[in-house]
Amino acid sequence: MKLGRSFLYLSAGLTALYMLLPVIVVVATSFGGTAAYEFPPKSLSLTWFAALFNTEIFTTSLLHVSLPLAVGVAVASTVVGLFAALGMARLRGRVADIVALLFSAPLIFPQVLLGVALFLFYARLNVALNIVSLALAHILIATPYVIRSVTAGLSGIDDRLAQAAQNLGASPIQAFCFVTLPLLKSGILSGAVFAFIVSFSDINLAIFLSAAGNTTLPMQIMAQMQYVSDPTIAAAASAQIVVVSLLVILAQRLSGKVRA
Amino acid sequence: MSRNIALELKSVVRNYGKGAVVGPIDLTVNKGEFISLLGPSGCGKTTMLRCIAGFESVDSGSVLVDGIDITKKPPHRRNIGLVFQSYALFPHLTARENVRFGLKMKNEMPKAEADGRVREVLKMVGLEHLADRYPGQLSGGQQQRVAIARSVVLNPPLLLLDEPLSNLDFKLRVQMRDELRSLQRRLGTTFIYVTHDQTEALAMSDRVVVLSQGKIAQVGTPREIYQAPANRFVADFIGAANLLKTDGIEPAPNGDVRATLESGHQLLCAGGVRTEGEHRWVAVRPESVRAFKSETSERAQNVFSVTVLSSTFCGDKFEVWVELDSTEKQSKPRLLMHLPPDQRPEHVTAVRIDPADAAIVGEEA
Amino acid sequence: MKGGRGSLLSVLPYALIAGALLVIPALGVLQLSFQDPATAGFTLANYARILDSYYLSIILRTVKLALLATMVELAIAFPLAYVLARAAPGPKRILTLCVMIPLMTSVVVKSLGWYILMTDDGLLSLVAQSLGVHDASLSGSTFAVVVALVEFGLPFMVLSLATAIEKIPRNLEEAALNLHASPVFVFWHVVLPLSRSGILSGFLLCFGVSASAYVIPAMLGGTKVKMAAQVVYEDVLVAFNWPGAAAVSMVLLIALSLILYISLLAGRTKNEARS
Repeated sequence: MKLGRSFLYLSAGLTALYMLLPVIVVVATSFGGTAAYEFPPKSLSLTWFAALFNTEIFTTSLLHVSLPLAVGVAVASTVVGLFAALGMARLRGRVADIVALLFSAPLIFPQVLLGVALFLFYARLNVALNIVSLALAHILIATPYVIRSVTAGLSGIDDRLAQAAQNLGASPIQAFCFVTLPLLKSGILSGAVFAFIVSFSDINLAIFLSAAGNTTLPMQIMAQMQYVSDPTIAAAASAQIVVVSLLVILAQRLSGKVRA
Repeated sequence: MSRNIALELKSVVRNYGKGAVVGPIDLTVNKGEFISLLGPSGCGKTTMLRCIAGFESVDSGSVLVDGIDITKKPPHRRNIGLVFQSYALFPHLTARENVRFGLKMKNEMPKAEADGRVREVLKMVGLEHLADRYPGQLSGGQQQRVAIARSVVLNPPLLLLDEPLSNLDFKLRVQMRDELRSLQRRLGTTFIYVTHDQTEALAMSDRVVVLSQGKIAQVGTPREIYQAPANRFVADFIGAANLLKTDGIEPAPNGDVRATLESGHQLLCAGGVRTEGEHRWVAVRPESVRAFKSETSERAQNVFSVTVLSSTFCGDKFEVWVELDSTEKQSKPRLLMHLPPDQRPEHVTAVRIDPADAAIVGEEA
Repeated sequence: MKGGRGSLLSVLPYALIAGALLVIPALGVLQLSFQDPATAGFTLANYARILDSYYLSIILRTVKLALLATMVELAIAFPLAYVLARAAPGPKRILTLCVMIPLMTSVVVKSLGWYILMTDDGLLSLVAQSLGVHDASLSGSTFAVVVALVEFGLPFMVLSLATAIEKIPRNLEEAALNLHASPVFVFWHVVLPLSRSGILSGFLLCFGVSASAYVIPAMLGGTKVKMAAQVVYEDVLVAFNWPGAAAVSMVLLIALSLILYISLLAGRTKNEARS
C-alpha cells in the first residue's frame, strides 16, 4: 500500500514537473551569464533584465500594447460578462440552452481558426487592424471566463437573501446593489483577472490581427525568437511569466474567499 | 371594527401545477394576537405565509392588512416583517448593519435616531455585545435573534415567522419559545407563526389554525383544539388520540349519544358531536382512559374489560396498549392509555372512560 | 425566478459580440471556401486541392500527432489529477497553482522553453546524445513537437479529470477497499469508470487544442513537421490564397466537430447501456 502511495505521488510530481519545465527553463535562462541560451545556467546575472528594459521593442510591446490592451479587455469583458451571467441565471428552457451554447462557443472554437475568420471578416469589411479590432477579438474569448466566474459566485448566494432585503423595504434594484452585488465582488474580480490573463497571453489571435504599430509582447517574443538566440528574449518571456503567475495567485485568493 | 383586525384573508386561493391548491382560505387575525399556522409538511402553511408576505401571488381572493387591500402590492411595499426559517442574514454585514438595513432602505429617520433604535432593539434581544460580529461568527440561536431584531426594528404591524425554531436544538428551542412569547407580549405586535410542532403551537399561541392539504381544518384556542377537535384530522394530529370507528350512533338521555363500535362495544359519549357525516369515530385521549378496579361497587359507564398488549415506561408514566375483550373473533378495538408510574401495567384488567372525555368526530369538513 | 425581458436584454451585449465576431465570420469562412480565388465564382477546387498529397499528408499528420499527444496526456495526467482532486485544502491550492500557471502562460513562452532545451546545445539534445540516439538534432523533430504538445495540453487534461474525480464520493473508494479490493483494482474498476465524463471532456479539449496548434509546430517543428494550422497561416498571410485557407479551416473544423459528435454519442450510449 505504501509503495502504491509513493508511486502515486511520484508520478503526480513528475507530471507537475513536466508541466512546469518550460517555464522553469525560461526563467532560469534569463538569469544566465552568457550571451547565448544556457540551461542550466553556469553563472547568474541580471544583465538580460537590464537589457530588456533598454530594448525598445520589448518595452513598447509590454507597456504600450499588451498591458493597456489587457486592462481594456478586462474591464470590457467584466462589464459584458457580468450582465451576461446575470441574465443567464434567470433564463429558462430552450432560450437558456441556446444562449449557453452560444456563449461557450468562443471557448470551444479553435483559436487559430477564429483568428483566420476574424482576419478575413475584417478584411472584407475594410476594418483596419489596430488595437481596437484586436481588443474586440480578445473580449470575445475572454468574456466566457467572466461569465463562468460570476455564475459560480451567483450559485453560492442564497436567493432568500434578496427576498429578505425586499421584505425589509428594498426595491429589487436596491436588493441587487446592496446584497447581491457585494457578495458577488470576489467572483467578478477573479473573472476580471482571468480576462486580463487571456488577453495578455494570447498569440493565436494576435498573429492574424496585429498590425505593424501594435505588436503584443507574445508576438514580439515569437518574432525575435526566430532571428536570434538572445537571453534578452528569455527575460521578456520571464516578464510574461511573472505577470501571469502573480495574477493567477491573485485570482485564486479572490475565489477562495467565499463566505456562506 | 376593522381597527382591531390586523390581517384578513378573504377566500385566498393559490394554485400550484398538477391540481394542487391551497385555499380557499378565510381567516381573521386580531391585533396583538399570537396565531400559529400548524400542520404537517405540505399542508400549505408556508405557502400562505409567502402569499401574505408577497413572495407568491394570490390567484383569487384578497389579503388585507389593517383594512387595506395589499393583494397586488409588491413585497418591498408591504409593511410586514418576515423571519425566514434559515434566517437569511446578510453575510457581508455585521449584526448591527443587518438590523439597520430596513431603516436604511426607508431612509426616513435621521442617522442618530436610527442608530439609537438599532441599539435599543439589539438590547431587547440581548445581543448588544455581539453587534459588530458577522453572522458567520454567531451561533444559531444568536443568528435567530438578529433575524428577529432586524424585522422588529421597523415596527411592522404584522410579523410572520417561518418555523424559526426548527434549526435549534431542543433545549434552546424551549428557551426561545418563552422568549418569543414574552417579546410578542412586550411589543404588542401581531405574530403569525408557522410550525409543524404542535407542542410549540399549543404553548405559544392565542389561537391555532390547523391546516390540512391546503385547507383550514380548525381554528381555535389551544384548549379548544386539544380538547374539542372538530374532526378526525385535528383529533389525530393534535396530541395522541384514540380513534374508534363507530357503526352507529343513537341519541341517549341528557343530550348525550351512544356510539356502537364495530366490535359491538357501546360507548356513552357526552363530549359532543363535532361533525356530521357518514364516517365517524369516537375520539378519546389516552390520559382519559383510566385503569378500573372492579372492587368498588359503584355502577360506572363505559367500563370495559381489557387485555394488556404492551407497555412502555416513559419516566413520568406508562404508555400501555390494551385490547378490549370481545366475544367477536375479529376487530378487537385497541386503546392507548396512560398509567401513573407507581402502578403495574400487568395488573390492569379493566378500563373506564368518563363519558365527558369521549366525543364523536367525523371527517374533515 | 422568471426569465423576463430584463434577462434577455442583459445577455444581449455578449450575444451581439458572439454573433458578430464568431458566428458571422465563421459563416464568412464557409462561404469563402467555395469561392474561386480568381473569378470569385462558386467552386469546389479549394477542397479538391486538399486531396493533393502535400495537404493530405499534413492533415493526416495533424490528426496523428494530436491523437498521440492526447493519449499520452490521458495516461500521465491521471495520477496528478487524482492527487489534486483528493488533496487537503492547503496542498490543493498549491497543486492548483502548479496547473494554472502553465495553463495561463502564453504558449510562445513555453515554446521558447522547449526550444532552449532542444537546440543542438540544449540540455535534452545532450541527454539524447549521451543515450546514444542518432545524431539528428531534436529541433525540428516530431519528438520535439509531440513533447511540447503534450505539455501544452496537460493542464487541460488534469483539470478535466480532477473535476470529474472530485465528484466521485470518497467513501465509494473506501467501501471498495473495505471489501478487500486492492488499490489498483479500485482505480481500474471504481475511479476510472466514474471519471468517464472527465476523460471525455479532457479528450475532446486536448485533441481540439493539439489539432489546431500553430505556435508549437511553427517554433519547434522546423520544415519537416508541419501541421494544419500552419498551412492555414501560410495561405492567409504568405500566399494570400484566402479561399484555400478557408477550405482547410473548414476541413479542420468539420473533422473536430465529427470527433466531438462521435465521442458524445459514444459517451451517451455507454450511459444508456448502464441504466
